[in-house]
Amino acid sequence: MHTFSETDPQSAIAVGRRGMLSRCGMGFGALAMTGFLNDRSVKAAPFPEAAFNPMSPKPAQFPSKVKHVIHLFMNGGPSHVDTFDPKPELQRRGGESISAGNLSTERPTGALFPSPFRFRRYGESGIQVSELFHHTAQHVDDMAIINSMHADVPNHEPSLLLMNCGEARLVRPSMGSWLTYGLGTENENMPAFVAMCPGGYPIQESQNWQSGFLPGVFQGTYIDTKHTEIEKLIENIRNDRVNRSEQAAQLQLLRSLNKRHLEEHPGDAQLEARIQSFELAFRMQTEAADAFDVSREPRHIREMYGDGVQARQILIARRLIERGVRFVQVWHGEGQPWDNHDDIEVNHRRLAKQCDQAIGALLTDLKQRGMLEETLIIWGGEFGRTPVVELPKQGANAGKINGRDHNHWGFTTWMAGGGVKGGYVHGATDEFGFKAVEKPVHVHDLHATILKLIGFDHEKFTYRYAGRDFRLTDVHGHVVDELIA
Amino acid sequence: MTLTQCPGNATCADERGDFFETNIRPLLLDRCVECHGGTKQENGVRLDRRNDLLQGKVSDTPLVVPGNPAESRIARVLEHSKDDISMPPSKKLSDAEIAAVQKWIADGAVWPESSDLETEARRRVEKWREHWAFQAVQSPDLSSLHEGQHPVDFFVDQALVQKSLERSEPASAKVLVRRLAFALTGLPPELADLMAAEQAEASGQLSEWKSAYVNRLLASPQYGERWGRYWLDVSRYSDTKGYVFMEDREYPDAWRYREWVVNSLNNDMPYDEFLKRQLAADRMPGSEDPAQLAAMGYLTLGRRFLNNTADIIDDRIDVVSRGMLGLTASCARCHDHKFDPIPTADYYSLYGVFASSDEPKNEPSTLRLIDRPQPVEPVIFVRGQPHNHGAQVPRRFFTALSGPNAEPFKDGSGRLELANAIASSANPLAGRVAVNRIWMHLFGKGLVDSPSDFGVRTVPPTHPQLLDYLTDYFVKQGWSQKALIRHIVTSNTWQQKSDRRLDAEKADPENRLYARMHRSRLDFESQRDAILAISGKMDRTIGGKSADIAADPNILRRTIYARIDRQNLPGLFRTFDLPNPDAHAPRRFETTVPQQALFQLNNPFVMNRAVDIAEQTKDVSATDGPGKRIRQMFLHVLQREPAETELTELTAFVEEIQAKQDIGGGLPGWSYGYGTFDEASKSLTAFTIFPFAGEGKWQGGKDLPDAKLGWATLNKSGGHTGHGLSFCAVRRWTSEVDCRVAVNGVIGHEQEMGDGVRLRVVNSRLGILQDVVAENVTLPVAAAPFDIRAGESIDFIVDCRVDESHDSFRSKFMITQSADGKVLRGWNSEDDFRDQPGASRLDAWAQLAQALLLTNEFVFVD
Repeated sequence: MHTFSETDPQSAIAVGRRGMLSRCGMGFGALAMTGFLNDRSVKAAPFPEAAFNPMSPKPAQFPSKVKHVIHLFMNGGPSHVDTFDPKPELQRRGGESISAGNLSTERPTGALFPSPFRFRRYGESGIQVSELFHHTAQHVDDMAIINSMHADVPNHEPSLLLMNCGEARLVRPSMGSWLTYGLGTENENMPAFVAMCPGGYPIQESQNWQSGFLPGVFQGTYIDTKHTEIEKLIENIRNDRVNRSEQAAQLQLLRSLNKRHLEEHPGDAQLEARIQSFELAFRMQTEAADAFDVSREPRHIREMYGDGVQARQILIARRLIERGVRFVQVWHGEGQPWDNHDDIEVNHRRLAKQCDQAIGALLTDLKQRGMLEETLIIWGGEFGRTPVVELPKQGANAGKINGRDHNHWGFTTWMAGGGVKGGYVHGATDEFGFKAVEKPVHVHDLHATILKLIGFDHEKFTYRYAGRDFRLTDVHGHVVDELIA
Repeated sequence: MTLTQCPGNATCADERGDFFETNIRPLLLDRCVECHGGTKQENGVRLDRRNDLLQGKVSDTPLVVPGNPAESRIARVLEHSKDDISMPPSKKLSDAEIAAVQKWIADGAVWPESSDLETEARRRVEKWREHWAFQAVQSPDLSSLHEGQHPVDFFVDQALVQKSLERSEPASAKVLVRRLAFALTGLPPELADLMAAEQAEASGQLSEWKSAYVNRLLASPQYGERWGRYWLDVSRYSDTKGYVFMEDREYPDAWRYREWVVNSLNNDMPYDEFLKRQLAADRMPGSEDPAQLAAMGYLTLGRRFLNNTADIIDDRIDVVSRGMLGLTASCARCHDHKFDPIPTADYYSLYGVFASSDEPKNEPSTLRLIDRPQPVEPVIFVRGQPHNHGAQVPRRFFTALSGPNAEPFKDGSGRLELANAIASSANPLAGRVAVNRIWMHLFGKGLVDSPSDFGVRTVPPTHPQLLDYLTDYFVKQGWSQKALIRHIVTSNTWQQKSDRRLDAEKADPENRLYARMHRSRLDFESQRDAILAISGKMDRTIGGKSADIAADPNILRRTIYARIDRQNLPGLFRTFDLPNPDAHAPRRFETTVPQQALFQLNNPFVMNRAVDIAEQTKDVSATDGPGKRIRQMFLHVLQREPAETELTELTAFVEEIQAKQDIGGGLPGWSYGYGTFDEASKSLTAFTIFPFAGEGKWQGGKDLPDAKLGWATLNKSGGHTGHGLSFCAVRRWTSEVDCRVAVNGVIGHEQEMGDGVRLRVVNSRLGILQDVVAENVTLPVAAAPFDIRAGESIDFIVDCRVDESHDSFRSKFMITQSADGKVLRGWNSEDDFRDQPGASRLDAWAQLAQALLLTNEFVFVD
C-alpha cells in the first residue's frame, strides 16, 4: 500500500495506471474520480494519483457525513465565563480574593470579577448562554459546548499554534491542511482550504494555516475579507489585458497544440494532468468570483446575516462550503481582537455584536439547506480568560482594572452540526471558571474528536516525514465519545 | 515487528516459548524497557530480565500471576482503565497486543530461560551494522566491462538483463541538447547550439560535439545558479527568520550565503571542503574573508522559533544530519531513535557542539558562528525537556559512524572536528548521499528513494553497486561535483530516449531500472527562467541581493535570486511546489493544480514577457506577412519549425484575435501626465508622464499632495487638477494609424465649492477641438469626426481655472474610429485605464507568444 510521503512524491507515476489511462481512453479527471479505494484500512487514505493532483477527492478512513468544516476563530481568547460558561459562584463572590485558586497566568491578577453579562436558558435543553450570544444561543440544541477545554500555556503564540497545528512551537501542518491532505476537495475550481481574516493576519500569521511538511498546495489560502474585489481576494484570478473571449481562444489553441504533443508522447498522465489544470483554471475565474460575491444572495439572506465584515465573511463561508470547499477558517480580525485585558464589558459586547447575528444566521441557514449535518462548525479561541480581574501593569491596561487575563487552564469551545451531540454541555471548570476540573478536554483531545467526526482515526491518520510517522495529535489525544451523537 | 530467529536454546521448541519470542519479547523491547529496563527502572519495575518480571511486585501485587491474567498487574495497567494507572503512558497497546499478553499469562507466562532481553536488545542494536548505508564504500569490480562501455551503462544493463530488458535508443541530437541545457544550467539551449548539434550529427561528429558542449555548459556560470538552487532546498534557505514577534525578521545578509553556494559550485569547490566550510569556515583557511565565512549560513539561516535556543539547535542538528548524512537524528531529541543507531546521547553530543558555538553580536555579518571560550558540557534533556537534565555526554560525532568509544571533541566547540568527521572518505554516508542527490536531479529520482534518510527502515538502493561505484568515483575525482555530473550525463543511460515503452513497463512499471529516460516537467525556477531567457530580457548578473519576484512582475533576475520569506511564503511559491523553507527539504513535490495555470494565464510577469517576445519579432510582419512572423515566433519559443497544420492554426488564431480587437475594446494608446497649456499658442507646450503609477492612479508621488505636482492626479473616472496652467492634468490618446476619429464624452465637476475646472480637447495639428468650463455640473463633450495621422494625439487637458481648491473632476471619453460609415474600433478612457506603465492589452502577437509559453512542449523536457 502506498501512503503519500516525502520520500517518493512521484511514486504515483505508476505505469500500471498509465496503461489503464491509455487502455480506457479516460482522461485524468475520470481516473482521479474513481479514487483508489482498495486497501485503505489503515493510515491515511492512499492516493497514488496525488503526484498529479493532490486535490482529487478521497474518502475518509471510515464513513462520515461530514464533508466540510467551518472554524469560527475568536482570536485573542474570548472569555468563557462571559459567554458559554455561567458561574453563579463567581457572581456571588465578586471582589473576593482567591489566593489558593488563583492560578498563574500571563499577568498579575486580583480578585474575582463577576461577569457583567446576563445569562439565560435557551432551547429545550435549557442550556445557559450569555446575552452576548443571544442569536447563536437559539441553536443551543444543536450545539455541544465543551466547558472543560484546556491548553498548555497562557500565551497567544504557542496557544494559537497548538489549537491550529497541534504543536506549540515546531513546524507542523495545520488541521485544515491535514484535512485537505486526507480528503482532497470536491470542487477544484476553488481553493480547498480557505483562511479568512479581515484587515490582515492574526498573531503567528500564516503559520496558523501552514502546511508544514505536507506539500504546499495543502496550505490555507489566505483571504483578506476587508476587500470586496475578487482580484484582491485570489491571486491571478483576473486578467485585464486579455479578455475572456480572447483567453478562450488562447485555450483553444493551447488545447490543440497540447493534443498534438500528447499524440506524439502517448499515455503520459503528467501531460494530461497539466492540460486539465488549464481547463480548471479557466472555470475557476468565474466560479471563485461568484463564490465571494455575497451580493448574489437574496436580500432576506443578507439581512439575516446582518451588516459588517463579520456578516459578510461568515456568509462567504457558507457560499464556499456550498461549493465544495473543505475547510474554512473565519478569523475575527487582524491581531488579537478578543484579547480584552481591559474594558472587557465594552469590548466583548462590541465583538460579540459583530459576529453573533451572523453565527446564528449561519446555523439557521445551513439547517434550512439541509447542510448542517454535513458541516462541522467549531467556535472558540486559542484559550479563555480568567475569572479574576487583571491588575494594571506598567505599560498595559492604562491603569484600568476591568479586564481579564489569558486563561489556558480552562475555557470553552463549542461545536455544532456534523454529527455532534446537540444540546449537550461537556465537562466543567471549577466553581469560578478558572480551571477545567470535570472531564477535562485538552486541545489534542479536541483534535482527535474532530478527526473522528470527519472519519479519521487520529492515531492512524499519519504522514511519514524525516523518518517517522507524524499525526495532528502527535503522541497525544483521546477521542471524547460523549461529544459525538 | 519481527523477531528473526531463536537464540538457539532448546526451549524454543516449546510452542509457548515460541509465542513469547514472537509476540511478547518484541513487545517488551519496543514498548516497556525504555523506562523499565537496564537503564531505568521506573517505580522499581524492570521488565528486561526474566526473573525481574516473573517475580516482580509493585506494592506487594505481583506483576504476573501465571495462568491468571486478571490477577496480573501488568495485564491490568495495559487496559488504560480508570481503576489503575495506564501503561505504556504515551499510547495504549493495540487490542491484539493486549490480547497477546493475556494469552501469554493465561498460558503460564513462559519465558525461556535462555537469555535476557538485554542481550536481545544488544543484538538488535547491532543489527544496523549490517545495514548497507553504514558499510564502507566498495570499489566495485569492473573487470567484465566491455571496451568502450560506460560503467554507468554496465551496472544499469546488469539489472535490466535480469528482467530481459534493454535500454532505449539514443535520443536525437535535438532532444539531447535541450536535455543537457536544462539539466546543467536550468535554461533552454541557444538556437545556434541546436543547429550545430544537428550538423554534427549529420557529419558523424556528434560525440565530440557533445562532450565539448557538456564542458561548455558546466563551465558557464549558469551552472552554479541551477545546481545552487538544489542546495538551497537542502539548506532551507530563507531571507527571514520566521515569527520572532517584534524583532527584526530580516536576515539582511542571507544572500551572501546564496552567493557563496553559487560561486563554490561554479568553482567546483571539492564537495568535502564545501561541507566543511558550511560547518566551520571560521576555523579554515580564508577565515578572514567574509565571503568565505558566509558559508556558515547553512547553520545560521534557520527559523528562529521566537529565539528558543533548544529549537534553534534542533534545527541545526536536523539540517546537518539529514542534509549532509541522510540520517534522521531529530527523532533522538526525546528518545533513542526507534530504528536507526542514534541514541539520545548522540543527539546531545551534537547539541553540545552547537550550544558551544555563538553568533557574534555587533558584527555586520550575521551568518557566522564562533566557538565560545568555554564550551558547553552537554547533558541529555530527558524526553526533550530542557529543564529535565539527565546524564552528561561528551561532545563528539555519532557513535554509529565513529564507534562507541569515539574520542570526545577537544578543539573548542568541536565544530571543526565534526566537520572533518562528516566530510571524510571514512564516512560512507556523506559521499553516498551527495551522489544519490546528483543522480536524483539528473534522473528525476534517486537510486535511494529517500534522499535524506538512509536509515535502516528505508528501501535499499535499486543499484547498490552503481551507487558505490559512483561514490568511489566521486571521491577519487577529488569530490568534484562537475566531474561526477559529466560522468553521468555522458552515459548512454542518461542519453537514451524518454519515450514510453510498453514492453518495459510491464516488467518495470516505475522505470526504476532505466529502460528509458524519464520525461521531466520544468520546476518553478526553470519555467520562469526559461520564459525570461526566451523573452531576451533576462538579467544575467551572477549573485547579489534578493529580489521580490513574487511581488514585482518586472524583475528580470533568475529565480534563484528570489526573496524567500519563510514566515509568509508567497502563494506563488507554494503553488509551484517550492519546498517549505522551515526545514531541510529532501526533495520537491510535483503537483499539478489550477493555480499554476492561473499564474501562467493571468500573471503580469508572463504577459510582460509575452509582449517582449512579440516585440522581438515585430519587424518581420511589415514586409513578409503574418506567416513569417508566426514561424519566427514559433521557432524562437519552441525551438523548432511549426508543422503546416500548426501554422494554419496559429494564423487562424492571430486573425481571430485581431478581428476581436478591431471590433471590440480597442488598443491602448493612452498616457497620463501633466503639462503646461499656453494660452497664446493655444497648445500644450510640455507634456510629462506622471512619475508615479499604482493603486488605480497616476500622479506626482505615492502620496498627495506631491511636493512638485501638488494634487494633480488622474484615475479611471477622472482626477484632480494641479496648480495653475503649468500643471494641468493631461490624459493623452495617441493614434497608431491614420484614420478618421470622433470624440464623445463627459466632464463633471460635482462640488458647490470652488470655481470649477476647465477642459480643453486639443489635437496637436488642428488645435482646440472643444473648450468647456464645468462648475458644479456635468457637461457633454463632443467633437465632429476628423482625420488623424499615426503618431498624432488628442489631449484632454484639465486645469484649475483660478482657484485650485475643490478641483476634483469626473471624466469619460470615447474615441471612435470609423471608415465608410462603419465603426471599426473604439477606445474608452474608463475601460482602457491602467495604473501600470506598459500594462496594456495584449495584442494578437503577444497573446500568441503567451499561448506558446503555456504549452506542454515548452515545460516538459524529453
